[in-house]
Amino acid sequence: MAFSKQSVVIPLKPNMDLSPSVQDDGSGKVDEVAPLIEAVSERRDRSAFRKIFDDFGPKIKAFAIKQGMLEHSEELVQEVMVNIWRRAQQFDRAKASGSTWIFAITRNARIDLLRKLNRINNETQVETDYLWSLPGNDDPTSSFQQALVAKQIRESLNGLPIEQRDVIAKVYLEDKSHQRVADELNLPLGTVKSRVRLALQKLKVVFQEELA
Amino acid sequence: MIKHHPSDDILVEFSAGSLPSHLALCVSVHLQYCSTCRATVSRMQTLGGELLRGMDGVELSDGLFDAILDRVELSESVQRTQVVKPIDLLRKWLPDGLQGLNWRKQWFKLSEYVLEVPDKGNWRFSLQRISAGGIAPFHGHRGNEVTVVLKGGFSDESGAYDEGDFIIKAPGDRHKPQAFQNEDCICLTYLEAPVSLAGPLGKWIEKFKALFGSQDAVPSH
Ligand SMILES: [Zn+2]
Repeated sequence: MAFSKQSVVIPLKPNMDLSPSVQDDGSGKVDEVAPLIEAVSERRDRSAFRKIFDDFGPKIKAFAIKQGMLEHSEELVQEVMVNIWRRAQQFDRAKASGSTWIFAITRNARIDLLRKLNRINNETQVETDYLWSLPGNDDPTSSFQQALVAKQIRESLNGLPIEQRDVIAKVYLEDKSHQRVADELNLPLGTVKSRVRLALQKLKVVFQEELA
Repeated sequence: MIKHHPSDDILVEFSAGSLPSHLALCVSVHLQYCSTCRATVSRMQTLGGELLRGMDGVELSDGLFDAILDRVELSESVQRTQVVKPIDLLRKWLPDGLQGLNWRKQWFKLSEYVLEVPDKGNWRFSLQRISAGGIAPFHGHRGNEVTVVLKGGFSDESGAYDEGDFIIKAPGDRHKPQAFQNEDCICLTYLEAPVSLAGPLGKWIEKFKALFGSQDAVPSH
């Protein structure tokens, strides 16, 4: 793997080099969210925006409720949708699939909302979008590959044993550290960690041996 | 070449957004150097996206979409053009990078520049500098010590660490870092609880510090 000290991460892509409609490589068929975000970016397309809202709004609300933010759940939906509108031009399907991008925006909006509500202790002064940037992948990944990785993960999620899927969902969607998941499920921390690890391996998110 | 990375557990919590923010900042700084972890985090976020997409939705209130449209009509679109460098992440505290800092001497060859300390609690977020070839005192920790090498490098009993390397020492790990001979080593360090100096001399110094209260932390901005 090429390593360069000069390689730096751009938190959110400033501007698309190519008009997305030029990248007709079939990734839109695998990732149906990406063209919607691009339509919002290029044409301020309200019906595409509405479609994103219809697809993701209810899920973002469910996500907020799982995070214990019931009374602010629709506020989070609003924040995420406004950010999708404002940042659509930074979306780059070669860096992330549509749902990955929306997930990152949702996660950051959640952190910002918690900051605003003063629910986070020991907060640093660094802006959320810098701190929790979407690093992307510097291998010359095509948008088609990004969409394919997402599709592969989506399909293998269904094949995960329930107890692995369960811990993965808790870690990702309920804002729980491994330790808190262990406490809640009354399991040793090591068991939770190894379930997460097994799941990540099956999903090909991490590979066999841990980097150390 | 980066050899020391955050564990997958940490990268997962980073991707999910549940990592405490100072630890997340250390991971972010490492990611600027490390393409391997960038690729991993990218896949972990893809997983997050698929989990979000697979959730059962909860019905939304009627007027919500219109309320959103009202807001987007007023909002400007964002085009960020800056490229973030490791030091940029720390620019709140280091507007001029690593230049011209007022280092505070801790031990013969060891100095510190405090970035942030809490009003209450005892974590510590700082830069540590060991002069070229210098040795920091043998020490253990009461909490985790997270280190990212920003400049130069050091070695200790368990290995050698270069620019960009990410190291966590657990409570109870004791080590004695020595900077490489050719240049000063500067590290970003997040200490969950203050370091305790080990060894008889260290114990004596701790007692001395407790007596005379030299826990002088300077909050900076
Ligand atoms: Zn790494």
